[in-house]
Amino acid sequence: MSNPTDSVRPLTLMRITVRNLTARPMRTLLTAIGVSVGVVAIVAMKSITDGAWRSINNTIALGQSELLVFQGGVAADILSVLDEKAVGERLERTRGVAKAVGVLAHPMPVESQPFMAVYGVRIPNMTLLEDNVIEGRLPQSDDEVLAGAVALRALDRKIGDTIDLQGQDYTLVGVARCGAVFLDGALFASLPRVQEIAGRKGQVTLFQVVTEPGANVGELVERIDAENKDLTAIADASDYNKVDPGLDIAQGMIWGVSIIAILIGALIVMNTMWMSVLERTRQIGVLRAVGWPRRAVTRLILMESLGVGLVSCVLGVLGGVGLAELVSVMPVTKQFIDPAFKPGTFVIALLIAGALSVVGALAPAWRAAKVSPAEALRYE
Amino acid sequence: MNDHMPARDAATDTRDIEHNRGVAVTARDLKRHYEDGRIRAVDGVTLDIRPGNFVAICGPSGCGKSTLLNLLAGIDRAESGSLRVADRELAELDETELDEYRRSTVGLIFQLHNLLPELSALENVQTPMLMTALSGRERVTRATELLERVGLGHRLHATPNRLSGGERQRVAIARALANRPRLLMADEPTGSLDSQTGAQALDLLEALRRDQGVTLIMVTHDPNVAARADRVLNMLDGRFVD
Repeated sequence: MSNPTDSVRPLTLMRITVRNLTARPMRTLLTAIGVSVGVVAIVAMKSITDGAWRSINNTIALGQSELLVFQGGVAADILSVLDEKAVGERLERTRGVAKAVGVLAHPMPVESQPFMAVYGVRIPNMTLLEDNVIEGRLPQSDDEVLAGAVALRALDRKIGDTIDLQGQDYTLVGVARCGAVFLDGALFASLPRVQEIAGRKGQVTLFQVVTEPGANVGELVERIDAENKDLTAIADASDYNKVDPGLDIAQGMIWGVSIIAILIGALIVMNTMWMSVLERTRQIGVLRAVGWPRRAVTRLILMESLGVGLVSCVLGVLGGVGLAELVSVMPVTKQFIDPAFKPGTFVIALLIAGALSVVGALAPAWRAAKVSPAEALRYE
Repeated sequence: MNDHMPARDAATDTRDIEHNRGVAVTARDLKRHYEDGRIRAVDGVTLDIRPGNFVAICGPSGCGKSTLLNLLAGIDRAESGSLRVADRELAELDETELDEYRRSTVGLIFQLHNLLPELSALENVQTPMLMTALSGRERVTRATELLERVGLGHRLHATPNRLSGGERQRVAIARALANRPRLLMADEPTGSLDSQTGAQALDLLEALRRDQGVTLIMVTHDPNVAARADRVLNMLDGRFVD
């Protein structure tokens, strides 16, 4: 015969924790929101920079390309200026290089868009994008352009329409998706035409380098750098700071902002838990009086704080993902931002929320454990 | 709200009851002062309590009754003197041993029931048992039995704010009995109750004491309560007086 108490769940520390947190739902929620600000910042910013790294790697790997070559010693990739013919020939003479495709990057206003990247590529070299065309075809003449999928939406055009570039109409013949927001938010036009628009005749910004079969990419990068003091070769996004420290700077700012947000979060937790311990001094005294050791009281306070941290983590991840997605669809930024949500980001969010919950609860937990039961029972 | 307290039924309920479990309490020249000795809450108390006795400690407010009870319960430490309970000198116990003493030897009933407001009656009674080796199922079973014994079998899941004053005090009594204490101490247990409910609570405590043979020490300044004790100790200015 079943006992009527069989269905009753026994009291546990976890159960007391949940009861204490849900007994003051607004305070728990407000504290969690305060703590989640730091998590939101970390998740959003890290997802955005991870997206940028992914875009760089996908740009490097465009078509058969395996590395990019820029002018050495520049402060930003867009400032790189290379002689298309001279540098191109020099690169193609390098052992391991099958082909060097010059690309001129020129940001400019395009119709309704105040800022859009236009890449100039010689028409025969457009085959570099062959595998990425999702609609239409590659340009076959200087009067035709290819649009990245994001740029197409931004310009609200369809294949066969014309696009005005600095007063001259170009026919849109195809759409490409490259998995790199810098490319998907751009237009691809004939190199001579873009050089003319930019006033940079004979110049390119970078070379996409296709290697010979079996070539060791790492050794090739070292060889290009060693043999050409005026060039910098990049085979992975992690080396991109050689031509543009922007991402590194952004990453530094992310951690700076995040540390401030984390400190504020820890103070919020500390304040809430301190108040909670003060309010419950008498209850803590009762628990001590009935034989709870100090460490059990400490554990209870830390578990409550971790509970707040868990809620903060959930709110922070949701908020961070939402914020990154919002930024990626805003008209001003959608051509440059395509967040990547990696599992590691969420693990970091969980660890940070947990760590600041514990750090914030240390002082209150210490106070709770230190209180003498006799004094606590007298506490009004 | 049903405030009926079946003290007699509880008294005849012999399940899980061990007789003659009371402990002897011996204090010699026990002192507890505050504020650099300006306040002499307990000032040289000497007493002997035999196992199973019901002792009432009486006296006006501020005479040191509650401080003495705190010392006996192990929730405060004396500055000097000797205090032996169940052949253990409390001054010699370290922190962990004192926790264990409070947990396993003592059952405490406060004037203000001091129940945890977020927890149900059943959960409140389990709080002292959480720190023992009992399994979750054993805790629930024992807490249910105790609440049934104090006449609250029908209020297991009610939180303190849904219980009457008398019911809360009965939950507090059940909680005090959770770990089968050998020394039951009550600080003005009827102080916040009306006379009828207070009398019922006393009936219950006396019945439990009689059936389980535990030592019962009760602080009170109610002469009617004191009259029910085996022995009455009067306190004034931190000392016992005739």
